[in-house]
Amino acid sequence: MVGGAAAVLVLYPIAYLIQAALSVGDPQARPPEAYGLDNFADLGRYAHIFGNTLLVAGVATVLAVVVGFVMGWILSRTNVPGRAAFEQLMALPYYVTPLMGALAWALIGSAGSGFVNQLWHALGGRGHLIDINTPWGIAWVMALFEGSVAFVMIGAVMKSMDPSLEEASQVLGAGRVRTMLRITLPLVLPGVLGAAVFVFAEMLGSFSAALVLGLPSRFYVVTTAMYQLVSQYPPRFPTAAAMGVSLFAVMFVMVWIYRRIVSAGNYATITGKAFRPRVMDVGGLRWSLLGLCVAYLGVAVVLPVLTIVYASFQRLTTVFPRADNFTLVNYATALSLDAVRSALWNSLLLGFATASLGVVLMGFLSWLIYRSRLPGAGAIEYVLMFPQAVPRLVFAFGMMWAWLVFPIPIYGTLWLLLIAYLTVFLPLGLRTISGVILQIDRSLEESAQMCGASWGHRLRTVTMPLLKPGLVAAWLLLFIASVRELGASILLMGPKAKVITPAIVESWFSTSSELTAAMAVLQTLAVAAALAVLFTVARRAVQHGGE
Amino acid sequence: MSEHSRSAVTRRGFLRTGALAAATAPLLARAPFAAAQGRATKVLDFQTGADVARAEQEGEIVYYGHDGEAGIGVLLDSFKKDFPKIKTSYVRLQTGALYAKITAERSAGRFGVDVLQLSDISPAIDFQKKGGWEVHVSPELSAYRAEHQSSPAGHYTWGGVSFAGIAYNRSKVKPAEAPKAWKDILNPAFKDGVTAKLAASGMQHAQWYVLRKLYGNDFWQQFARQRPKGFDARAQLFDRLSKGDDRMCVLAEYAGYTLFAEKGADIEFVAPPDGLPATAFFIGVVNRAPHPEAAKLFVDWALSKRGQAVYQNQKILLYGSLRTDAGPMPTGKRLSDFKLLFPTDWNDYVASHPVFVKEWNAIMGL
Amino acid sequence: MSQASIEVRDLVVRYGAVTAVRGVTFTVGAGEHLTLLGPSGCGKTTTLRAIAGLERPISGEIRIGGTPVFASSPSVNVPAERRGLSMVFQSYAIWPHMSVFDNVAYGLRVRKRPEAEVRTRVREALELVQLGDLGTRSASRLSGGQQQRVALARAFVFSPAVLLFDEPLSNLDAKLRAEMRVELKELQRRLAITSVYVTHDLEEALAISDRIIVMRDGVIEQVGTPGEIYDRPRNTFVADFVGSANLIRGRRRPDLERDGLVVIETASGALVHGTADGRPAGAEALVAVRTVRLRLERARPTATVNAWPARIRQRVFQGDFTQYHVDWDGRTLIVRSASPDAMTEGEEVFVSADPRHCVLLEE
Repeated sequence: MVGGAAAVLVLYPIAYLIQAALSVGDPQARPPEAYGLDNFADLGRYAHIFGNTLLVAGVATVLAVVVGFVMGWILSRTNVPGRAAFEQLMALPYYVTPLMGALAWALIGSAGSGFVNQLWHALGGRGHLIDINTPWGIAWVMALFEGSVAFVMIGAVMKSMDPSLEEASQVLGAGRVRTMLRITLPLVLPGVLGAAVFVFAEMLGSFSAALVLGLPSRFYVVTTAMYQLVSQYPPRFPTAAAMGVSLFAVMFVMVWIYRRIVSAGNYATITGKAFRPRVMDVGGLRWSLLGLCVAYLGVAVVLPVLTIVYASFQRLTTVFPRADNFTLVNYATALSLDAVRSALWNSLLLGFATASLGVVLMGFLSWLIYRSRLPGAGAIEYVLMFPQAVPRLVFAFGMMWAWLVFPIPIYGTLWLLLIAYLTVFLPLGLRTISGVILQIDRSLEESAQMCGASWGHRLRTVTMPLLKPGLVAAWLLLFIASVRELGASILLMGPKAKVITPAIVESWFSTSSELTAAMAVLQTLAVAAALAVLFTVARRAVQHGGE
Repeated sequence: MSEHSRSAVTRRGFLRTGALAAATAPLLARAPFAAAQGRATKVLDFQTGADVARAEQEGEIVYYGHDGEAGIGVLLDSFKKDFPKIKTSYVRLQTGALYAKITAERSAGRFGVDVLQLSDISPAIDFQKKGGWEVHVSPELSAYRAEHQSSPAGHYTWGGVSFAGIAYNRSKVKPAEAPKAWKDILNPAFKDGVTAKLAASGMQHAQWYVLRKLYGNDFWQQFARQRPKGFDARAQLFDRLSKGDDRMCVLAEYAGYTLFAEKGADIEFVAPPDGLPATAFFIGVVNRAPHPEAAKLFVDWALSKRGQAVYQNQKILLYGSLRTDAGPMPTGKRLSDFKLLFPTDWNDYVASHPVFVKEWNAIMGL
Repeated sequence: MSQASIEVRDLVVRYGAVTAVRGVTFTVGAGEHLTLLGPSGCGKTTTLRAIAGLERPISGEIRIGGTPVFASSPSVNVPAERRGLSMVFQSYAIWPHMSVFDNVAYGLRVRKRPEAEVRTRVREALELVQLGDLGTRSASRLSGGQQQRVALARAFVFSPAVLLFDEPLSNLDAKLRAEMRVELKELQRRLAITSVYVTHDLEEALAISDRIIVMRDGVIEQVGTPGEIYDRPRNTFVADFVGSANLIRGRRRPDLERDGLVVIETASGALVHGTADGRPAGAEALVAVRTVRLRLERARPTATVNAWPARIRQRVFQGDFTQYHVDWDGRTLIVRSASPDAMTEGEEVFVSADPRHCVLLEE
């Protein structure tokens, strides 16, 4: 059964991860010589790394939730102009991704050569104004990008609140502020808490920002420490695995808490009955709030993108433009590198495959879990959401071992990456598609049934067309997520299976920042071009074929 | 191999190019050559022990190496120009991770690598112990001294040398403070402004070992107080140095310096009078390679004057060639112009590796 | 397809952790219009959905046109799409991504009817529900009432053997509901399809049914024609649910009984004559009188029995009728009167009721 196969896909690598964590004796021996809990006992030495991880994740979560809450409030409760447009634009930071953001902010905020500090020095300042290579810097970058996720979740909560509850309060004489404090906040709080827990779980497992910004200042979190441990010679797999399992355990608990909060409050983050919230007239404050929205998008999207583009055209990055410093050599080099060309191609191909297969697979699984009445659907859902609690790097670690010994030689090929992506993105796809499925009233399918339509006919004529907008959104999400993927790809690539994001990271560490910037720009352009092509093809197909 | 030759390799240092070495080297070089299987054929302008027709039939080569992407790109492109019928693909990782990957794959029964190039001798020797290298005595080995080959020869060979001094950013370092000798890197004025490589680097191991022998175990403990930052690759070190993110790099590879100085970076290179730690990279054919003849062809090419010219003259690689008939480097200097410090006792060097990793990780904060 | 009969025997259906239907047995004759009536949670919808095939019972048997579509032993369970039934849903379930025409044509196309036939029949169906000119409109742009009609058309266009209705009018406002009720009845008459209708609305049930089944808590309370249910409720629940009734308790006075009537004496000594309607009467009895069957007069009525003095305590004007709360026999009686002649509060009047409208209840 498809559900069972998907479950195996998820559990197989986890089993290997746990096996590696329990391996004592010769760390190089495979299968493990002996089993024991020594690796976990040993983790005490790395207490500071766990501390770092919690610190960064905590700060980032607070920042992200504040951003999400404020933006959510502004865009759904006030009469700031252009709200609808901004809501769409709030998805952009997610597409820029933490890696791009980290690269850009490294250029902007490095203590020595960062743009801000260059300007500071030029103005006569001493020392540095900001230093991005600190836990606060890492948290800042992570929060900027996760803020848009928090926004989506909190915004949904705000929309699910019945405005008459506030109106009742005001009719009884409570002022605006009192209403907000006594009525709105308590109602919204559980949903916000749920979002906070979710964001915290994601932050625990984040990799790219800590990699780019943390390594230079010897600041490690669990994921980057694991990466270091398996990259050195001799590699320390069991220790790394033990770290991974510990992180997994913590994230698992967090995700469990999140699901408890969500189901207990019956929060409409998935089911869709939306009220139209009452909009407050904030008078002159409108413009300041509008400025706030623009500022956020500016800092999270515009600034990083501009910085990267600017750097990509320079010989040696500096904030002060100099005629002799501009060059196209970075692009020339990047395009000449077979690694970049084939990596870009592979990434686009993989993205297309992951999104297309993913939508079909996850659509089917969603339907299975939320619509069919088969027994065990709940258990399958639980298993399939597992990868949410496992950082991508950790998961890839288990996958590496699991698929290394698999008789079919997919190790080191694009197939392995495809399987890895599908597995790792299961929660993302399931969440998106099930959100749409649950909004479709069951009676729409039942009435088709009563008209005599068989299961297949119903799926084709009723379910699928209604799901289409959701499926398209899920496809897009999966495509972009897989092209941007780092944590799993970095461990699973092979000589003929290179993808672009790890190549960008490799370039950052082994060539210049300018070349890396050029590669990042090329990646973004390639994705945009691919999407443009796909949409024109799709639209033409719809026009010709009709449905 | 005879007892005599083994001790010659372990006890001989590279600075001792005395008559004895000169006399015995050709002897040693010839002995394995006599045991070489197959005949040597001339292809292009070098000798190879591979069956070129078969190699071209195999049509492909998988290369695992540690150089930067651009460097590997240049290397493989040069090979492809010479042998267009052979496709190339590669994996690039720092030596530690590279070796970990290949051993993991082999332990799981996956043999997909043709040629392996490492920048640290410890994994090379370890690989030899595991029987990982294919014993292929290249006809080109006649141009290499015995001390630059594996023992016994044919497992791996020293494909080139890189050495490192000190480099600093001229705009960040006052002339009075400028370092001149190794002891100057301990100057507290440089605290929080120095960089080196991480423990995964072979070059870093070499520097640690050699300077420890020269200045005692305390040297590096004192260096730890400088709170140095560690990085993966020299491009990163020089990138930051050029931009002024760091003031001084204590493992400044000559090749990296040359590349960045050319880009216009305001950096200075210092060759301390006590000598420059040096290390080589090691290249060889992998046992159970999927394309054995192509692999042998590649290694022969890499060790030949043709291949060595790529390694030595391409600025992005810039390894000094160890061929006895090698020309000067693009900067005009030869290897012999520098006082190079190699570890003298290889077994001791290899045995010191775990100690190095532990100590260096601690110095670097992991 | 011709009309089919429905037989339901000993049906037990569990809904989650609750047993929603606990052993229900009834038949629907071919061409008959049956209504399942009851408060929410009584199991009527579950029973309907079990007949449709959308719920799977634990045990029992369901036959349509004599053929078993569900049986617990030997195990039979024909899937919903093959039972030849049709259903109108409470939420209408109109597909927003299709036009009105395509919505209605769906069932015909599933049965692979030729396009020409589809066009004709859809047109006729839409005419029948008075939406003849809306064929090409997108279904997402319809009002509630229009969606309702499309749902209807879609349900009967392919001439199913049985039509099932799941509270189809409950989402409409009161006025529209009243109008649709009449139209539905007309439609039923025209189509003459066996139908099972579920509602909690009494007026609806009374208006359109041949027979009504009153349900409570998963069991059947009473089966009968609308008149029977209304005028001769079986027990307190039915009496109370189906229209408003006054319940009068008293001691049997067999010594005063004649002409087939039953007499009870209330605690305060008032005598009430009523009909037993074949029900066994014990020493104590409960009699129900509909509020509209009580008459209020200023002068003493000429009837010999069931005429009592009383006093008006409260008067509530309701438009079509006026509701009076009357003090009688130490308690309050509720009387609904359509008479334009208003009584005032505090007035002394006479309350009377025809014994045929005083019904003995089973306890």
